Amino acid sequence: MKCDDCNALLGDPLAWTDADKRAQVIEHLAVCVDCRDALAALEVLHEVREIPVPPPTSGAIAQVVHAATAEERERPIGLAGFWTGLALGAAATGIVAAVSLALFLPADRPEALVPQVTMALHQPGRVSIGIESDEPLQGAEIHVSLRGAIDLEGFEGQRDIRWATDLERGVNELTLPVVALGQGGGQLIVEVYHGNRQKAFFVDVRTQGNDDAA
Amino acid sequence: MASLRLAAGSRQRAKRFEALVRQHYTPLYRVAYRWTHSVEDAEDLVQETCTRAWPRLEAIEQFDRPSGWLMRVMYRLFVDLTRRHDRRRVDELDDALLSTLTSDEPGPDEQAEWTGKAARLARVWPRMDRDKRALLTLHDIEGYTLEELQEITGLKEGTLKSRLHRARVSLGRMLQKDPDLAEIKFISGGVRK
Repeated sequence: MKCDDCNALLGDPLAWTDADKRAQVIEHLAVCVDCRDALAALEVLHEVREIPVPPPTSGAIAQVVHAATAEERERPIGLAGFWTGLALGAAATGIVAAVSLALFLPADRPEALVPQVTMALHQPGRVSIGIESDEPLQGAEIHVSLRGAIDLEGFEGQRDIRWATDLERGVNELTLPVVALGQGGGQLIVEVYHGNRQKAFFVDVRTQGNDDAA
Repeated sequence: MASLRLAAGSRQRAKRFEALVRQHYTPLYRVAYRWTHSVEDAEDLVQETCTRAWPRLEAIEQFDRPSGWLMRVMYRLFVDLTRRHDRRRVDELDDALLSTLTSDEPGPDEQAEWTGKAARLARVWPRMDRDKRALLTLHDIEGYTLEELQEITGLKEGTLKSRLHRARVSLGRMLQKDPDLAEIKFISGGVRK
C-alpha cells in the first residue's frame, strides 16, 4: 500500500470496517512514519470534533447587518431637478458613482445622458446605479452585460448576469463591484424587464489617465 | 440641488441581506471559531465576510449554494491575511480587525475548557500555517467533502489530498514534540524530574 492509498483510507472511517483494508493500513503504518504522524493528528482532530463551539455573543448577527449596511445608509445621492445621468466624484479608497436613471420617462422629460464613471486600473470599485420606478414592480428581471475591458469582482469572465427581483417605488440601488482591466475601459449595460416593458441603461467605465487625456 | 437618502428599495434589500446572514451565520461562525479558537476573532471574520457579500447580494441570491461562495470568501480572508505580497486584501481590513486576527493565541477562558488530546491541539494550533489549519478544520473536523473543499479553495482534488496529508503529518509531528507528552512519558517510566 502506498501513502496516497493509506491517506485516503485514514480519512474514511468506513474503511476501517473492512478487514482487508484495515490490515493493509496497519501493515503500512508499521513502516511509514509520515502516515503514523497523520493518524495521530486525525485522532486528535476527531476528538476535537466532539467539543462544542461556544456560542457567538448576543446580537452578533444584528451587528453584522448593521456594519455591512452602514456605508449604504449614510451616503446621500445628489440629484438634479430633471432625471439625468449624474456621476459623483471618486472617494479616496474607491470609486463610488451614483447614477440615477428614470425607468419610465414621461414624454416631456429629456432622455438621460449616458453617465460615466472613472476608475483606476485593476482596482475594484463599487459602481452604484439607482433605478427609479414610479410604481412597485414585482418579478422584474435585471440583466447586467459587460462590454470592453471591464469585469465584475467575484464573477470573473462572466459577461452576462441575470436575475429576478422585486423593485419598489422610488430608487432601487444596484451596486456592482467593477474592475477596469484595460486602458480602454468598457461599458455596463443594465436592462430592466417587466412584463412587456423593457428599458436599458448604459454606464461608460473609463480609466484614470485615459479620462484625463480625453 | 436636492439630496435624497436611499429609500424603500434599500430597506427591502437590507432585509434580504439579514435573511441571508441569519441563514448562513452559524456554519460560518463555527468554522471561523475552529480556525481562530477565539469567539471575538471568529465574529470579526464572519462580519468581514458578510460585509463582502452585501454589495453582491442580488447575484449571491441566485447561486445554487450561497454557502459555498461565503465560505470561499472567508477562507481567502483567513488564509491570505498574512500573505504580505497581497497588500490589497490586507489594506482593506481596518487596523482593529487586523490586530485582532494576527493574535492567534486562544483566550485563557477558551483554552482552559479543553482537556486531553484537545488541549494538546490547542497548544500547537496557533503555530500551524493558516492554510493547513483551514483545510484540517474543514475536512477532518467539520466534515466538508473534497468536492466542497474544491469549491471553497479553488484547488484540484489531487492537490487537496496532498495538502491534507501534509497538514496531518505536520500536525502529528508538532503533537509528538508537545512538551507535556514528553513529560508524561518520563513519569510513566517511573522516574520523576
